[in-house]
Amino acid sequence: MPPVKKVLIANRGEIAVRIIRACKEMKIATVAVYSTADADSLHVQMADEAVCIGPPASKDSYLHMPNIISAAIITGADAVHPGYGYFSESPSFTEACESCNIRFIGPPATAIEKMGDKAKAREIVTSARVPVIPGAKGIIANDQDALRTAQKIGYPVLIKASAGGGGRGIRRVDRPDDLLTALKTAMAEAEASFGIADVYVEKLIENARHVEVQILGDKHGHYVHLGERECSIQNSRRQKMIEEAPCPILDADTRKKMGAAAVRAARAVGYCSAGTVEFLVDADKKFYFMEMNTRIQVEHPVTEAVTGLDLVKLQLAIAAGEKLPCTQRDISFRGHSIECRITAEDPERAFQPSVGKINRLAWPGGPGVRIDSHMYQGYTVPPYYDPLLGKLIVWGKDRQEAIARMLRCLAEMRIEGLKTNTALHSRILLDPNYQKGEFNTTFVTRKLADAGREAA
Amino acid sequence: MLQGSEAEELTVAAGELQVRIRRGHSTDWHEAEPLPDSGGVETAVQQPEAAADNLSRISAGMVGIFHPAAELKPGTHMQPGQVIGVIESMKQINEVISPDAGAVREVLVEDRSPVEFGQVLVTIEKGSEGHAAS
Repeated sequence: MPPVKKVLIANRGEIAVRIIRACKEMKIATVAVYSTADADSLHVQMADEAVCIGPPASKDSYLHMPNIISAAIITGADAVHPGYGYFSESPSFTEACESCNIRFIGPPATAIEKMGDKAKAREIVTSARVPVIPGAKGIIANDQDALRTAQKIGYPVLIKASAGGGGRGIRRVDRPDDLLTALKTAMAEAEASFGIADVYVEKLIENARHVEVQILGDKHGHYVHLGERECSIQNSRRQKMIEEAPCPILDADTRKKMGAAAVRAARAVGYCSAGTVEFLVDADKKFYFMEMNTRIQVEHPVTEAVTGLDLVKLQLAIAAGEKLPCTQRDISFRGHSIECRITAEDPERAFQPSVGKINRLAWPGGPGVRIDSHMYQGYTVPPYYDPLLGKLIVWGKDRQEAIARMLRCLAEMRIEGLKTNTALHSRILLDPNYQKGEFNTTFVTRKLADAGREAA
Repeated sequence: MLQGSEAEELTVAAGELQVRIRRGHSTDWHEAEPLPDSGGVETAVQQPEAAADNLSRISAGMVGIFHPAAELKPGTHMQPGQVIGVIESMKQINEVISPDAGAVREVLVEDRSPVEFGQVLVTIEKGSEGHAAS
């Protein structure tokens, strides 16, 4: 298999910049694609070539398959990196690339498809002896089926869209009386959001932590796991805010078991490239498979910080047919890493997005600090895309040092011209329960509610 | 437009419409290969917005390879709805239509050139008589 010579990055924002940086270090040429709203974006300036692929709306540009594939062809790109979001988990995009002799930097279309159908994924990983949340085997057939299943697993339950993801299409049901109404709304929402009304029922694991395992697989059947990331600090819309590695409550034995389970899940679908297996961990440290994300993730830098590996470079090497450079035995974890997602959102106003021009920007610096961002002073944040402005990542010899370093960085950072969630990050990191590592996915919502009560 | 100049980048603004052309560091554009039919192509042209001056700028509505119509030469008179050329994208041929009547002022891209979204292909002097295509 020939090496990759020119990569088209089918994405925007910080992840496009991240991928271009990896390519530059590997002496691989880069092609940026951009919408008319992103003409001044950093990824356009950094790439060797840039092709405008449409107007601002994502469906007409970053989700316009013919324009992206045409851009790859006219620039002679031999590979496409999808980043996260957009076409990163689209089997049809992957197939379109392959049929045009353009390598897709990611897993095969079949693996994306199997993991993309959440109900099917549950069945597949169950047969690979990966523990799943108690619930129905497949999609809900009818009202009777739903009532019977919910009764069997016990309330409260969650109704989830089979094609769902990113926290959308989920309904909580506490009592049997509410089940059928919730089922109807969930199916309508699933149909509207994903085009498929199929739903399944799962037990609600209360006070759970969101812990995910990073895996890598090559095209020769070799797999490793790179440990876990703790991602329980999420806002009221189930969007992750702070991630860290390692998870503060996980012991070496559980880590080993979760890692092995994640590798079994990946192997079961013939996975290759970087991927993430998401688990819920309950108060008794029992873990349950939630879903697999078949792409690079926003929070990948914390894993890079504690393992010393470059996940994007490894994705490029795997796409070129290279074997994994390490076995499980070679992988060790050093220190502690935390990432804060800096977003243009106003936590005081229910995380409403804020757009505008960055009048002043000063990033923090010093030892153990990494910034992944597409921002620069004078850049105008367009209103069409997600509010992520950048990621602030720190490394410390232990969790305590990492927290102190992140607090120091947040205080150093100056972003003027729009509202950001920076102050909320500091408040979370200063919270005694956060510092003790005692939190779950409801932490931010509860903290904001407490603050609201105090203010009232 | 950038050919024969040292410029790396050129921005043309007219009213609300802004078009930027950027020179690639590599200029070895590859020829289009036949692509599987995706069926996803929607519009062939982006209707240019009214320019402050008398010039109508017709731009590419999609990424692909531009093939001008044979009669597309400076001075040729175009009718509204007349095909000025086609953009080949994903094995589909998409016609680019002139929205205005007028004489062709300039053809900005060569035959079989790769074009990006929003790239100006042709300018037309609105109302100008020109000569009829023979």
